[in-house]
Amino acid sequence: MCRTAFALFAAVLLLCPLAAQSGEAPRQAQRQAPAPPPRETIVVEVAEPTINIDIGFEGADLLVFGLVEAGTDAIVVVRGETRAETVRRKERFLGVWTTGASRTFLTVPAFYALASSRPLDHLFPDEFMSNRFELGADKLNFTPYDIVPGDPTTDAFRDALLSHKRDAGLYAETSSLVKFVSEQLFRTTLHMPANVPLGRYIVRLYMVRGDRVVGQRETYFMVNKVGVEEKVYRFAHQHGVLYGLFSVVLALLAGWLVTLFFRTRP
Amino acid sequence: MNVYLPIAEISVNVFVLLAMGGIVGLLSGLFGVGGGFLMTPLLIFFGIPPVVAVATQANQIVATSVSGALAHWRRGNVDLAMGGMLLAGGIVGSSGGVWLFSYLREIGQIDLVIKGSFVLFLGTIGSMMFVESLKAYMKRRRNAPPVKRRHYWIHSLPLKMKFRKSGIYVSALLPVVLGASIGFLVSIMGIGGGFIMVPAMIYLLGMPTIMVIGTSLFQIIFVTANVTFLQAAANSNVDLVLAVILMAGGIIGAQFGARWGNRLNAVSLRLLLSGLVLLVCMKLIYDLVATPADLYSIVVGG
Repeated sequence: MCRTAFALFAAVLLLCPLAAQSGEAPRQAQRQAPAPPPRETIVVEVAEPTINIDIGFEGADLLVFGLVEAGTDAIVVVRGETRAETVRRKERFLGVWTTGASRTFLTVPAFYALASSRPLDHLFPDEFMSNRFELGADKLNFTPYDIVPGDPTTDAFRDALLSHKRDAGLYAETSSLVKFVSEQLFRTTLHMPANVPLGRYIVRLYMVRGDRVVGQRETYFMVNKVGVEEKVYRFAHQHGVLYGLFSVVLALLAGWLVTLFFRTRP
Repeated sequence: MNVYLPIAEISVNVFVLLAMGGIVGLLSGLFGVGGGFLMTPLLIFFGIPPVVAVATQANQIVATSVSGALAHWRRGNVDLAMGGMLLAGGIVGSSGGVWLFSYLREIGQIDLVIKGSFVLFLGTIGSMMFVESLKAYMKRRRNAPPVKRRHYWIHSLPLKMKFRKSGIYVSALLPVVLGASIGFLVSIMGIGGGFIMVPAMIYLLGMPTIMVIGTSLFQIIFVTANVTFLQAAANSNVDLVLAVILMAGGIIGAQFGARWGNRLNAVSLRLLLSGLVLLVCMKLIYDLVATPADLYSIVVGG
């Protein structure tokens, strides 16, 4: 898998000088086809279209690379599937901590990682763009269910959700980690922890000039479970009755085999 | 070496789990108890979600009770009539228990109920065992006369039945109700229930001790099998990978435990076990009462 990653990366490296020459090349190109407009120079690609979680999975590094116009900055955002999540707060009841109030948020990305060529507060001093494009985990709009926005209690639940995700390594922002290999070609590596949720991931590239987002591109990749572990998970959740029977039969057999094995001993 | 547990959805060290299974297996071999009442809290302390710990433990107990029950069966120490009565109650009680389990899980209080039940039962049984074994320890030298059997109200209940193998004549209601209440606990706590069932059969039903363990193990097989099946079907919380690792560790541990157990003194063993039970109980109380480091928990879904 590493080899394909580098092959792809090398391919882009080769393409890069061609793209850089495109300013001088239009005359040649005009004979066959009209020259592509320069703002088309925005490409994003992931090295591996799928990440497979097997039984010994301990996380993976996702290589993202692409092209932006010379002199612009790049922000790469990787988002997992959006889903509803409920935050529950423990409350003391007769001296014991029990599950108390809860809040449900409807649009919570299962995963959020951001890398940028310069720190976000340098790129967007006034936060208008980062709010608009949800750049940075604290800018995510979680859409509380059934609750008035701005309610201070809801904010506490929201902060708890954010810090949980950050502690689990599921939400991460890293500044200045998008590295430019040439004027236009960049690469970055985003870490996917061992507990990374399954599903379809969006990789979104934002091209930034001045303090404005001037271009966007998207690509996708999948996180799948493979191997025994995946089969067990799917079996358990899709065929609960059969899974239950299987578990019981397996345990009965194991217990019986043990007596056979140990009976033969003196 | 780390293994990802597909249902618990956490990555754990396989050797730590094997050792845990082994130690609990060793203890169960030493003390002649199932070990579920120690294993479930240990799994919870280890970070396995309590709902997965309970259901998976029930699955593991199926295996251990089969091997135990077969050994007693060969020696003719299983009272099928009594076992059948206990089992009839056990199936009803454990099915009701799984239903309540699903409901409590939905309203988000299941973890508290599991831990609370353990505190209650480990605390009660642990202190009773501790006091009793302490007394026995003192009495050993004085050679006190054995306590005579008394006549309680339970012996005048209707529907009396003869249990030939055990040589007792008691109301059939007794084992059915006993089986049902312990079956209920099996589904909520992921225990075999032997440590409650055995004293209840001796003191409440007046069964001869030699019949008690085999008969108890016999009905535990089917009650835990019922719990495993219903939990898997209704809650998808039986982790087969975890169960297999625990079984492997438990089987090895139990064999060593049984050998060492013969060399140790029964009374001091009971004292030791009661101390262990009380220790686990205190840790559970501490976890319930101490202010948690994180007041919030997250669940996927609305």
